[in-house]
Amino acid sequence: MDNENYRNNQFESGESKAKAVWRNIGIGALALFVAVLTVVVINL
Amino acid sequence: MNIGDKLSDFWTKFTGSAEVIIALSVSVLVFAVLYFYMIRFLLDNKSGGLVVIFVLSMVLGAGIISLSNMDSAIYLVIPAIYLVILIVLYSVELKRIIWAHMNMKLADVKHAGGRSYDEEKVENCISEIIKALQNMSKSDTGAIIVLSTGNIPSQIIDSGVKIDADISSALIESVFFPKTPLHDGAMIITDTKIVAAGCFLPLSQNVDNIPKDLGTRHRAGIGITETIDVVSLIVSEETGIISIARAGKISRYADFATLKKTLNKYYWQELESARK
Repeated sequence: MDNENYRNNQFESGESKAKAVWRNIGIGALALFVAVLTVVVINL
Repeated sequence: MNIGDKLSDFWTKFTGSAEVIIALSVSVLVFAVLYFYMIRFLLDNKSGGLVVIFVLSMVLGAGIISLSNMDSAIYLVIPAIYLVILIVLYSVELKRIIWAHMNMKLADVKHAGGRSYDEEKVENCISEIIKALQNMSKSDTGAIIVLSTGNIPSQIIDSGVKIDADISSALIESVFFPKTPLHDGAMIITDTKIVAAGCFLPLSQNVDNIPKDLGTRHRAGIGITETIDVVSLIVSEETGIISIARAGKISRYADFATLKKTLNKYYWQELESARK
């Protein structure tokens, strides 16, 4: 077992912070579009 | 009434009074928040296809209902069906989210009183845990130990056998000795006590970032750290390699110094901050 070589062998996961913010903005825009559609349709 | 007339009526209603504008804006906000969390949850669980189908069905449904004389309230059936599908398909993931929120509150209550530890006792616990891990590593005995701050959900504790014993390497090694009833589950350690053993942990769903050669024990060890703020110490049955999982990440080939550092951090930082 070669501890020195492998001690920091980490499996990183997740996105960068900036990417996550843009992802949330995208999801928010999509959610808002569908929400407006819903409210308009049920009030027709 | 055609679609043009319907939209014209809606616009007249929308611009009619402040109350209507406020009511419609609040409705939009409520639906937007609901859809936001629903879409984000689906994307987090690699279900982008379901999001596309959801948006398309909402657009298509809007078209059909606008052009026909159907009751427009029927439109709400589409998001309702989606919510039911989400609850049925992702019950495990939803349960984890609920656990994660519950655990924060549990930890706050549990450690509200606060108490400090005898340094000698903590050093003894640390050396006993390390000794047990290294002995099990030498003999290729599979093991999984979860270091919690008292934030483990009762469902997980109840899935095993409650022990409530002082930490000793002999007890840890006995529990994980092959062919004993509790060896296949996880041992939960809180403070200076072994709380339970033989517990079932949720498996990690992160298939992309965990190597295929890591088995169910490692996935369980990582899985519990994805949703709850705990540290898992895992000994591989195949290779004897000791791994440390924290916040959904695994660090393999832990040696004495790494284990000591992790356990020191657990006892002197994480438990202390949980008590505050």
